[in-house]
Amino acid sequence: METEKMPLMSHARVHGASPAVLLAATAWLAVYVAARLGLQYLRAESFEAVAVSLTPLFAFFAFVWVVQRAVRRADELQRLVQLHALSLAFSTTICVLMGLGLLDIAHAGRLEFPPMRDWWAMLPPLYAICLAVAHWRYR
Amino acid sequence: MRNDLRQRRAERGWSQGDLAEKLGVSRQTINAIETEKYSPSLELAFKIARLFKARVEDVFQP
Repeated sequence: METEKMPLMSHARVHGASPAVLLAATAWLAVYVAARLGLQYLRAESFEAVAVSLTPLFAFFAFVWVVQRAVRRADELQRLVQLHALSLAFSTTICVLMGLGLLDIAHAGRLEFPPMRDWWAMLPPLYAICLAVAHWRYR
Repeated sequence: MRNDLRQRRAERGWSQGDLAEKLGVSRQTINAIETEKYSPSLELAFKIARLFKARVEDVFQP
């Protein structure tokens, strides 16, 4: 049969978050939480504190690598869904960060909630929401 | 883009998952094409037509 000659693509489910992506994300989160907790017990500006603060970056690079691999294995619709999600998430991120920046100015640089060091934490859930919206469009 | 993919698939007794596996795409992709929410690339359209032993213009109509 002709179909037997066709190469089968791997079915990486980026939109539905493959187990590898979820595992990498969990590992990254775990390392980040451990680093945040560890930093409470280390002297500020010490070598140990700097080393611990940089540790989550390695876990994050591993996460990025796993995501990139999943995207490469995705089929054309899954890639389109990712593109829609990214375009939505990027514009929403600009909007949210701009709003927070202006609120910070309005509070004379004393905006306490959410603290500026945690602003980034809003972005992954925001992307997940945008991905769900993009995914829903093609259901 | 209009198409008769669902009908052709049903004639062969294939599920969306079966067809997805034969084409090397996700089941969601097959569903999106059948419900005309997504127009496949030229490459995938040719793969589909070849699988059903038909011409692309017979399977897909603008």
